[in-house]
Amino acid sequence: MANHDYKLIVSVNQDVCVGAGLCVLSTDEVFDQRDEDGVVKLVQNEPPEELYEKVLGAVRKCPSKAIKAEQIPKENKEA
Amino acid sequence: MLGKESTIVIVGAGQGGLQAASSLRDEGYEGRLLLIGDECCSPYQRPPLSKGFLSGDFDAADVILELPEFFVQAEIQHLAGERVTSIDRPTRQLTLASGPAVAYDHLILATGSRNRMLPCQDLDLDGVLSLRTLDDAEALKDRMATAKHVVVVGAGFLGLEVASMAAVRGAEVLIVEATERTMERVVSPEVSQAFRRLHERNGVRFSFSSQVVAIHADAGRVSGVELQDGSRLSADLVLVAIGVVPNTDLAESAGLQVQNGIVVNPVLGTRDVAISAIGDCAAFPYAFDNGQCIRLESVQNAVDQGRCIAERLTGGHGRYDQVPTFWSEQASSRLQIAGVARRDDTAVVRGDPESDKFSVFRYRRGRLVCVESINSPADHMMGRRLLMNKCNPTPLKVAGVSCDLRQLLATA
Ligand SMILES: Cc1cc2nc3c(=O)[nH]c(=O)nc-3n(C[C@H](O)[C@H](O)[C@H](O)COP(=O)(O)OP(=O)(O)OC[C@H]3O[C@@H](n4cnc5c(N)ncnc54)[C@H](O)[C@@H]3O)c2cc1C
Ligand code: SF4
Repeated sequence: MANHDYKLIVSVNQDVCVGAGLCVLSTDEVFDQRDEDGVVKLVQNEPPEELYEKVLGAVRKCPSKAIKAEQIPKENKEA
Repeated sequence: MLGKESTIVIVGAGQGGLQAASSLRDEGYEGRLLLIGDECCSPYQRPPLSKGFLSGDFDAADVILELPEFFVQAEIQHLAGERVTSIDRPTRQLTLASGPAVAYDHLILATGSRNRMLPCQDLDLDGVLSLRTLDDAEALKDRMATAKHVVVVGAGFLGLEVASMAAVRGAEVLIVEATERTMERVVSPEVSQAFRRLHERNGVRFSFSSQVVAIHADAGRVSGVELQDGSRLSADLVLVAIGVVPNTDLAESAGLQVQNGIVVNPVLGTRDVAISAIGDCAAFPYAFDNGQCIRLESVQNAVDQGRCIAERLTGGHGRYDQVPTFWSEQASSRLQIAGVARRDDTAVVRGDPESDKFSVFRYRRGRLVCVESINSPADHMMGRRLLMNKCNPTPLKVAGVSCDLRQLLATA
């Protein structure tokens, strides 16, 4: 996979999550569902680059837009 | 099993079709893969169209499921804006509206459903809308921006969701419903009543047991509707939301069995071994009701059936046995449903039905078949698990709020 010139910081809004679990299907290395109510929880919020595509896929597929992935430009990145 | 030399074609690039395609690649299918859909854009999801899209929280880019790069990377040929017009089963070929024939080794029908229309509905009348596609949603959103008198025909999920959005925007909203309560086909009277109350609190009015018999226009623009009792209601926007019909024409003209959907067996196959059907268009044997044939319209159903068929085509057992789940957001409240109930199933309430937060457990001949939860995600989750594990807590236990559902699961 191509190197990314940004870093992804993932966050979730548990108030709007409808527990559909589509994010977990995208990657269970970043998303999990709370046992008691199925609401999303993060396994990690700064996933490694090889998971970026999957995380961005999860952001798109979440029906309630409960997931945010902020792209922070990397500092001191050589060309 | 289908190897490198084979071709799988999926008709319908919606929620189910896209899932089947991406799951086939996830499961290691290496052959040719075609996803053909008659809509022009990238595959998108529909749920936000009656929710955050109308409120302006999301736009068209937010509902796209996969971007064009995905299809290149996953080596999925996505033919957009292309309609499949016929299937020739003996030669295993499809015909496209644009002319060419496409050969398949396995064909997955994921054609979804389309909106039912009112007998009196004039398609060209300005201001009479329905909601299924992104284009429909754009048109509806435009109209809602200026509409003052909205009539929604049908108090199902879709009609109720749109009604609550229109009310928030300050329009006067009336819902005309043929039966005597909201979501009559699918939820208990208790849940119907609670949502009626929530909507009325937001200013939405209802006319139950009534039917729209005519739509009136003024210079090509809708001006109102007429009910069966002769009364007339003025409207500058009419949304027709009276349910859907499955898209089965292709299957039917190819001689496949169709009965309220394309009939499939427990592994989602039709009686032609080279053809399967998933999602809104498929009528499948319901694993939790002695194989009774049902058809569901939900994201969970389309996604899980898409995954299931991908597993079977790559060597898995492929039996479809997931607990159906559904959610809807209306009047700032969330309804979640696990399982499937029928009209005459008994209802056992857990919590206070006069409040905005309670659940209803539905039983058929003493067996738990469905759990409907309003603003109670923990009950919903438990309901899912109880059904999945075929647990059957007694109504008495369920009704006792002090009784921990988790213990029921552990001891059942
Ligand atoms: C406004 C709205 C809100 C919804 N909200 C919810 C919700 O909150 N929760 C929930 O669980 N579900 C909801 N649903 C239902 C859910 O979106 C559907 O159940 C789901 O999209 C079904 O997926 P599918 O793949 O079977 O069909 P679709 O997603 O409809 O895809 C079928 C595709 O096949 C195409 N097609 C049909 N025939 C042909 C042909 N001959 N050739 C080529 N292409 C063809 C269609 O144009 C369509 O693009 C909602 C639906 C709508 C419309
Ligand atoms: S996909 Fe979205 S709504 Fe579904 S569980 Fe994940 S975060 Fe929640």
